[in-house]
Amino acid sequence: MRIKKIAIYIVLTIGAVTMLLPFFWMISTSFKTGFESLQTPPTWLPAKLQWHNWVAAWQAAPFTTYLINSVLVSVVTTFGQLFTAILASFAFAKLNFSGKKIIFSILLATMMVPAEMLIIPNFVTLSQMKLINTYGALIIPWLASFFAVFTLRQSFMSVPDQLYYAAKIDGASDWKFLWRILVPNAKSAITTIGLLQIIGSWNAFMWPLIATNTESMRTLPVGLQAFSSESGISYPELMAASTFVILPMVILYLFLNKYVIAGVANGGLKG
Amino acid sequence: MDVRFEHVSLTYNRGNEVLHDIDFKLPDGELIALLGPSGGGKSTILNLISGLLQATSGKIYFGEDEVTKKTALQRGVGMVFQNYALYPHMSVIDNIAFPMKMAKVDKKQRLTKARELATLVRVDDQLDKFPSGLSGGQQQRVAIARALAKNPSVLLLDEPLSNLDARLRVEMREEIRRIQQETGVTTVFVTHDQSEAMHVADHIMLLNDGFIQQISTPQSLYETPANRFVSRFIGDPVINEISVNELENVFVFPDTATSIGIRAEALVAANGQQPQIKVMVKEAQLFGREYQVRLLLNGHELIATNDVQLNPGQVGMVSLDMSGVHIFNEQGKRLNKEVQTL
Repeated sequence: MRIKKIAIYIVLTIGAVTMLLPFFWMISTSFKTGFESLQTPPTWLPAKLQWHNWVAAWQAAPFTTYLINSVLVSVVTTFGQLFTAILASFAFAKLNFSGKKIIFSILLATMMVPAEMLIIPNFVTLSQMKLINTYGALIIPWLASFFAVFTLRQSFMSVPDQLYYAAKIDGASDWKFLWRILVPNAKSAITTIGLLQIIGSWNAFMWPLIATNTESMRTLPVGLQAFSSESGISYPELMAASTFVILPMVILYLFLNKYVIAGVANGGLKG
Repeated sequence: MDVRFEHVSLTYNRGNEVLHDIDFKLPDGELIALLGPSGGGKSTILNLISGLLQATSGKIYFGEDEVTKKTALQRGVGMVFQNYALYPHMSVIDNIAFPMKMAKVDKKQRLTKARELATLVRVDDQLDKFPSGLSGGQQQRVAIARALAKNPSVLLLDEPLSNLDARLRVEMREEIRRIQQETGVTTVFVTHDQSEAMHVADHIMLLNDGFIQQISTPQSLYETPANRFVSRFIGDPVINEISVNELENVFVFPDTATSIGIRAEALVAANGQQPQIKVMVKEAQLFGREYQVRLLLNGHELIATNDVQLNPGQVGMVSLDMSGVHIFNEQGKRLNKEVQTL
């Protein structure tokens, strides 16, 4: 019994250390000098804390603009995606219409298309719409996600149909039933999807890099490129910038993690 | 409000007819039970009354109004679902007030009304709790209050007691009776439990295979069953059934008669006045206050609930109380008036 417990703790500790080590390395490096960051053997902690790396990192590129862009794009895509996903999954979970199964299967099949394959068609479409290098390019392709629809549909289906009929009899329209009964009862699933999307959107690199071409449209992850140049990469500054780029997401996760865990662990509604 | 069905049929998409040309009228202000085995059509009728299902043909009236094509909301029905369907994220008072909120009743007014209803169904000390914190009986009460919140034209209850334990079931059926009488709203409830229906309903509609078998008061359903199915379904223990051939020396049966049903309490100690049959006592048991004797008539077992004044193993005569004896023809129709005693 005791041995089993010790073994479990050892495994968990290895897992936790593996997860946390990159973050530790990032923060530690951000306080080193350029020389120390590439030293062999590497040092765990900086000899002297180089605070000026942080100041230099923030000033190296227009991070305020990037920050505004990132916040705007992440928030709009997340709310947009939740809105479309809530409507679509309600239709798939609770309404009857002809072609429901076929449409659902087709959409399910689109999940098998790798995201990278969509880059070119999306780029072509948006450039024909003259939207490249605008917020439109950064937002529109992400306003609907079948992954979100699929996840939310599962959660909506776990809400008993009798609640739908009860609400009908109580005088609620489909719209009111959706927002007043179904959505509050799928809170944890919605939070999970929202959080996954906001993190995904915040961290997105490839698409913003391709779809924008001026500094005023760049987002934070793309902005991190400022630290790699032909003369090499300034790791301490890059790490300092990376730290402040991920910080908002870490804080958000710490506040919402109980919903995420509940959302992933079960359908959410207690029978 | 009285509820009337005229030649109502319902066929599902796949083509199987589940209700066949149903005609009935449920009187205003009564408590009516829809009784029958599963698949009999009772929940289907309830859903047709509610408007959640639409009839394939025929007409449905609430009082003078034809409501056949109207939605559940337009019909103004209140409904209690089998698993109560309370909104899990709302407190008791918000659940009760929800229909009024949807009807845009002013907030103060709807809270006052919700409190009154909570008092009526006796959950007024639970107003701020959430459904998950209530017992099954309390959830049931809240569901009834919510259904009453919009002054429904008809109150519909779908198997309201099936999720409760035996003791609570008895308590809640009395509560449903009390609430129905206090509000006077026409109430229809679905059940598969004949004793539940017998105990609380003013009228019972017994259904089987999508046909109405009989609509009448509980007492006449028991005393004058329209057919063999009714006589078997109503009553506990189940009616004793034997072929008429076994009793040809006792009765003169009409030519069409094929079987005879004898209620357990119709087998009484021999008294010389009523028709008698010769039986052997197989065993006698006492369950609490319930007495049960197993008798053998030419090898057929009959159950009696009276003391027939014979000991186990003894052969002797018992009398038949004719009010509990029913004769049926091959189709199961009851023929009693035509029977004579030899």
